[in-house]
Amino acid sequence: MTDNREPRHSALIVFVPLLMVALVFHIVRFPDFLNANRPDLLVLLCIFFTTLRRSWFNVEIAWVAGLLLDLLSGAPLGVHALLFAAQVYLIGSQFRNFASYSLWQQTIIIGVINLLANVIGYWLEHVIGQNVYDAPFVIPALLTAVLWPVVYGLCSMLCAIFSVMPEDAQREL
Amino acid sequence: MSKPEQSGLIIHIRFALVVILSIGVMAVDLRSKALNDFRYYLETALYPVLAFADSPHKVSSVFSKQFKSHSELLEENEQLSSQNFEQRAEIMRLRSLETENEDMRRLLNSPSRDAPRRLFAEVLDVDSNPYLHRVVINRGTQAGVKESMPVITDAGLVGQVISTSYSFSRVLLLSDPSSSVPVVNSRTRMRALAVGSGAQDELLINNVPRSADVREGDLLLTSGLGGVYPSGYPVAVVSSIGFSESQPFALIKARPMVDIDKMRYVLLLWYQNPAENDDPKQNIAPKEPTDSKVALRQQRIKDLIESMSKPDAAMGTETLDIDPASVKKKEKTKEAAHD
Repeated sequence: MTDNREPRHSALIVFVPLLMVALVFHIVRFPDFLNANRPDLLVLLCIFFTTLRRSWFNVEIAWVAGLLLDLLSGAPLGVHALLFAAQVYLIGSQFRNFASYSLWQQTIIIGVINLLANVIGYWLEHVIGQNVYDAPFVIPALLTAVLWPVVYGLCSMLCAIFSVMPEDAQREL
Repeated sequence: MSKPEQSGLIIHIRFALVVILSIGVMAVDLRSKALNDFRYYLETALYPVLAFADSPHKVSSVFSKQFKSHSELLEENEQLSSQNFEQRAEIMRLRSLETENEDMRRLLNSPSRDAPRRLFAEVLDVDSNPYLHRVVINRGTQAGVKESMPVITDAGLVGQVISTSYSFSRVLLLSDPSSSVPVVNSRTRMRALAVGSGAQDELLINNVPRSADVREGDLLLTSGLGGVYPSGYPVAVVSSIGFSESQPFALIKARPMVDIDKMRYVLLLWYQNPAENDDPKQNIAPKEPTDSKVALRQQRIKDLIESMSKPDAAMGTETLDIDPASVKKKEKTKEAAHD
């Protein structure tokens, strides 16, 4: 019962370590296939916390997370930041009841939005002048979508363990 | 009803702000050097994350080392020592060739090439962005690494240092689309540019006319032009040559000598472009003409004057003026008199 009166920032307990894990996941070396088609774990994390805490988690935090990834991966500053913010924004503004959708619907939405973000990223890199013509964007989006149920389950479990309540549940109490 | 609408508006505005901020940051990062210091410190602070990300690779390599059997090690040791022996013999030969080369260069009055200072480094991380062909190495400004230093392995050229932090630096690989290396064909001495294609095992050799003498298997070496890469390091082997009637140039592809996926250790070179070398010892004065050349030139001038003064002799004037200017003057006055 005391858990219900936890301060709102308690989501940080789960978010910050997971952010570190996701950042490491983005730069760690995998076999060739996964290296080229790496799923966006960090975006999934951002989306999860958007649905969990709409008022607390927002576009700006996704932007900062993207900026950290830009710094780590040596990309031009702002590219991932913009893409992450865009994905969180699209989910937050176009799918207001995202949290109440069933898991497979969420998976499809995330796949489509990630695909869109990859296309925008491809375009951005072209505008900047780093033109790679055979950059994949369908397979990473698919992998990202497939990974969503896993991330969702894992994050929910961690939130339950550290008694981080979803926003709606907190409001009801 | 109005509350969700209001919050919707706020999220639009917030996103618009973030977009503007991103574009601003991108522009500043790409077009100016203002964020370089910021990047330098932040990247240095993020070094532990990079090192941590490399740990699975390290652990696996440690394990594979530990589990090598004794006989395998003995065999490898034997092979390496024989290889070492052969290479020592080779080095002896090369050393004599080097001194010979230096002597000859001195005879020809051209600057001698000293062996550049080298630094050993380990590849920490491959940038995961598919748009970037870069690797991170574990040496930074602390070890004296500077931007645009050439990076090689025992197989050939890898690329150049593109950014540095305190304890690590990023290396732009040959295969990055923004990289181009001046190369020379070792067989025909034809110069060309090897440009990264974005694929790891392919370089494009641009602007080579269709009539050029290029064959599959030709070795491309750095030409030393451009001042970034020292000359003579192997870059790539020509892998395919295509001719299309609609294209003015041949479509030549080459395979880099270095297997970037498997590369683990690299060497950094301290290379200074001879053209920009300020060291007075290295700067060689233009070649002085030899005595015979001076004599030849004097002889020629004499002949010229004689040939000019011959008609004068015929006219009756016997002046033999050595100054060519006055000879010309005289001729002019003569011509005027004729008219």
